[in-house]
Amino acid sequence: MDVQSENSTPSSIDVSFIDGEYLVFDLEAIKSLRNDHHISGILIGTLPQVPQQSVFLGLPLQLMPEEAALLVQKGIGRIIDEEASHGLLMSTDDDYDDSRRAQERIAEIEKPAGESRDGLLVYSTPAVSGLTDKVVRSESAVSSIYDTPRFHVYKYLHGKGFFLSPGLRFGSQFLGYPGDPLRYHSHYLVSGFAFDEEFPLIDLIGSGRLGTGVKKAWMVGACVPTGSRRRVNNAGEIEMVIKDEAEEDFASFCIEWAGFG
Amino acid sequence: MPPKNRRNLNALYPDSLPVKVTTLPPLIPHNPISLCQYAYALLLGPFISGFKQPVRYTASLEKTSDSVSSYVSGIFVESEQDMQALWRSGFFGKGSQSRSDPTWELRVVKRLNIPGREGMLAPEELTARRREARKRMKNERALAEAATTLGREIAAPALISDVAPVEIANEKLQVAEQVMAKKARAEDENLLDSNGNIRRLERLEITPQEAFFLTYALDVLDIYDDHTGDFVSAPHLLGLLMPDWRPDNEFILKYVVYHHYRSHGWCIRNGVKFGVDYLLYRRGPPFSHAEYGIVILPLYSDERRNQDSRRDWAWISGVNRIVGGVKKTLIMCYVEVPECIDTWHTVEELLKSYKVREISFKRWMPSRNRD
Repeated sequence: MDVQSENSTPSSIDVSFIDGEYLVFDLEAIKSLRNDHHISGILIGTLPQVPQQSVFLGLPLQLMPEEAALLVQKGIGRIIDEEASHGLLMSTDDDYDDSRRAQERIAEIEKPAGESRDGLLVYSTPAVSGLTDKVVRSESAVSSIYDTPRFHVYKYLHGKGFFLSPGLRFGSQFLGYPGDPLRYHSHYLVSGFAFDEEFPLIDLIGSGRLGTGVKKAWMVGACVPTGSRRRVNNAGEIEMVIKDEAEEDFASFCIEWAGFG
Repeated sequence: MPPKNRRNLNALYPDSLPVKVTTLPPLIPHNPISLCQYAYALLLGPFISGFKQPVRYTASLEKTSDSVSSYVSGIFVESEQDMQALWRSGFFGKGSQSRSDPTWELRVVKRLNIPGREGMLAPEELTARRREARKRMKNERALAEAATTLGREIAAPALISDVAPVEIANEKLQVAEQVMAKKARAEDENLLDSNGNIRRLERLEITPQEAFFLTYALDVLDIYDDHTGDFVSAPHLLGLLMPDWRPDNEFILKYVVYHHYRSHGWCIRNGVKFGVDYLLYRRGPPFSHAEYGIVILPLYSDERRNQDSRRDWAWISGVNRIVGGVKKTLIMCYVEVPECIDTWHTVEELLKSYKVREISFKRWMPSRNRD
């Protein structure tokens, strides 16, 4: 980890890493994510004015690990380790001797009541404010995500201009929106697999049914490994061919039920 | 479902399993006459009227071999009588040309207008009529609602005009039926033999679990090897269906669950159309929709294997959404897998080494579940 000062790159988006979650607290950054980088994320904060509802939520914005990883990979954002930053903040206070501070405080309290207003003692709490240094997690902290099937499919669809949101509600990894989720319904239930990964055939039936039932398609995709790929030739045999450089390195299929829904 | 319909169904499907039960007269210990009656029925029962002779059904087993081994590719009931009997008592199997019950022949007879079955209705016709009636009912309801909301003066003409759509709908239905009946396909000639009789192309396909249940548990089904013609006994069938003899073999896991629910009086059928392993019907598909969807999850004593075979949360969420969307409840059926099973065990000992536990899973939202 390296310590950087606050204003390293002006356009860099700070993603706070707190207790395993990726959060964004800056409203401008959230706007930029949505408008410039089509990452919508999920607002998870309660609104202080209307705390008894969960329909409209406020800051912070939670990002999926894939979203955070993509921001780092593209150099758009950086991950701030808030725990370490907090430690750093506290440690700068170390030279301020605790016992001396206690003494000062006692002296303050024991002063004659001349400083009290309306018979009440007024204490001033020394507050730390101003710019502080942040501990930035190095890229290696998220680079393990780069090589997961989830990240491959996320990056592929994101690169095609899709907005993606978590797909847990529909039993998939992501939901794929052709534009801003506020404007469009999602078109795809997205599941990324490793190339040649096997899954039960009954999942294909179930996910296809679920997708078609809500007017979506189940999209499965995998990153084609570099080097060679298999292809079914005209005789119906599977043959290995060297992958063309220009060829897309991602294979995807959509599954829907016919005559249903 | 209206009670009239229900009576009809009870007459059509009286038995919940393909076994015939004859009740003996009541036995009262201090009444010597009842004792005599009981002994008479017990000893001479098979020869008196009212005794139901045990029925046996026949199925054929087909095998496919690849380069490594041969495996069972299907078990079929060929005779028309057995097909109908197995469907009517317990709803076993699926017609190879039909969605569930073997109605292909009736459908084709109706479609080609072959005389002889005029009185009978193919299930597809029943569905079409039901849908038409439903549409008519909705139409009438909409008009009635419009009448109440708009007031009297407009209500009167609306009620008169509502006769017309119903008549049109009736006419449409008749025309559609005629068109359906006349439309013959080019390949229809192949369906008839030289005497003009329809060829029997449909057979009842039964799942390995159903076949084993009928042979082993009920002992009403005789299975013969399609290729050699040899009789396949229950233990032999088990060997064919689980050749690897692993404790967590897919067949035995599914069979344990199948046997469990059949023993408790449920009608259990394959749930592949809803992405689950089984569906549970209270009595059977014609009576009511399935109430539960079952997913089978193996439970090992070795925790590491449980970790390996664990499905993710998204999967449960997805399956529950499919099952919940068709108003069923998801049951996660855990089968405790024994450490090892021995080939010399009897089938009964083998089944006793498995345990079944269920967890019912339902999505609950405080805002929507307030009744």
